[in-house]
Amino acid sequence: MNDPSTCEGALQISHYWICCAPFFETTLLVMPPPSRQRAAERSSAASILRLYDADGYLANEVMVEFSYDQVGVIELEPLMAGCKFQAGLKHGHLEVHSPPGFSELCRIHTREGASQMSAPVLLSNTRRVFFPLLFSTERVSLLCLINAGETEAVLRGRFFCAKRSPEATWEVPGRGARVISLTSEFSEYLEAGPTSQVQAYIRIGVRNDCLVGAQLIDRTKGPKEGSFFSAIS
Amino acid sequence: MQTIKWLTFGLSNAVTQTCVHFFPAADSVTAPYPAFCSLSLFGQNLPTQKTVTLEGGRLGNPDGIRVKDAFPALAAESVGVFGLEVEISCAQPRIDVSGSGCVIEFISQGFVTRFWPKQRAVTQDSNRSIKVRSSQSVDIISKRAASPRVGVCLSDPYNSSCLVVVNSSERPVAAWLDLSSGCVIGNMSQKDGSRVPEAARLEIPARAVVEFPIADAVYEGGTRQECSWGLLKARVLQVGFDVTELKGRTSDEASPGGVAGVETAMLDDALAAFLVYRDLDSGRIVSVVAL
Repeated sequence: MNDPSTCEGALQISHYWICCAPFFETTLLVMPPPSRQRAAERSSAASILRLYDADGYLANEVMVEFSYDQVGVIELEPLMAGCKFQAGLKHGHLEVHSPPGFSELCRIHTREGASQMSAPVLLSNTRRVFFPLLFSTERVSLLCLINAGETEAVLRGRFFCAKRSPEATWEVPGRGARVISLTSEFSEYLEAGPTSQVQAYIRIGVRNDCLVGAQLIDRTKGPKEGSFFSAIS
Repeated sequence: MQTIKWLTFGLSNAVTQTCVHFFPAADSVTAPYPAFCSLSLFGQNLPTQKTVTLEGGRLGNPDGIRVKDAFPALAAESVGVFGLEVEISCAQPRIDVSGSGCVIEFISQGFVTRFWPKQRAVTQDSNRSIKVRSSQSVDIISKRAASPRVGVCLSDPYNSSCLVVVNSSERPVAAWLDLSSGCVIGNMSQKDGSRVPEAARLEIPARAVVEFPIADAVYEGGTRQECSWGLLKARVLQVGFDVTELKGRTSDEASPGGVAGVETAMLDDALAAFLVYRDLDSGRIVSVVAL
């Protein structure tokens, strides 16, 4: 469920939501295949990284050689100059075409800390996914969506909080990405006091025939200045 | 009865509590049929295995529980790490609940860490005989047993890493760690067919959770890259379990295509490994990745 890789010819394709400003930056870690599965005669292999901006336009495309013996580390901020801001974030959709056996992990970091971020969980018109949410005055929950297909995806989210379950609809452009602040989207249903925490859930499904990836980012204000960001890994 | 299972670990101490969130779901079924969630707790510091079944769940409706609410013994004392098996079932025999989801959440000092637990491929029927969910599952678990699980351990100004291994089976197992440079720790066959010294094996008792710190020496010869936030040291980690020796079978017999392959794979399915990343300043767990 949490492995969105698909195969196209000899290369496998993975999709990631990435962001570089203004709150945190994303780094891509590329892991070579297990030693038993390696091509013995080769020391490195090329992967193609395609970056689409939030509206689905190709912002950058690079080819990178990754060693079979080392972890590949790529800070994505320099590659995202062509990406635009949407919902206050400079973010986009990363498509990784890599040789069989390679796998990736994203990492997000601020000045205050870093955490790992797995590939978005896939959903379709037959597969719905859920995320647990914990709301408080110190926390903001961001739903990050990417569209792996060419056509616009229409998503429906149902918010479960106490005995209420309102719905919302979102569109994600083909190849594009969207960030939704769930704290703002469902603020009228959150009745938390100034210090209390509210447990809630969001259930997401796709209305049309599209393949969409979803990831949840939590922004928590730290005891000092600044915030810590965490994702589901 | 259709079931789906996950294997994970949890934490219970003075500053960290564990929550299990689950989403009983069936593809193409929208009716809210009753669903059940069972939690089985095990670990070295717990006297016996305990199972609690949560009723009142409905297909399509996410829910969750703090583990210490289900197992009050966890609230009474600080047990540290423990093993947890989560099972979702539906009484309707024709409903496939394989579309269900589960998320584990650690809440520590106001911060939240969430991760996907390891999904198990096999289930057990009421007659206590092991059965495999489908022929596709046989392939999946056989391949999983045949190939090691790969992750990346990191050390930089933000994070340190450790490995957590969960053994939900009734027998002790040996784990081997392979750092991709060829440096091997554990009971793994080397390229020349010989085995590394027994003393290097990582032993995991039956129904136990063991945490292995990743020492600084592990990063020698690995990736060292100067990043915008400082020096990042990284190393690919392969984790495998030596289940063939435990069952007293040869490697050929226990190969994925062999007679004992599926049985061996089932034992392997009862094992899970997680890479755990901690914040260097606070020691708090910031990420967990199931391998």
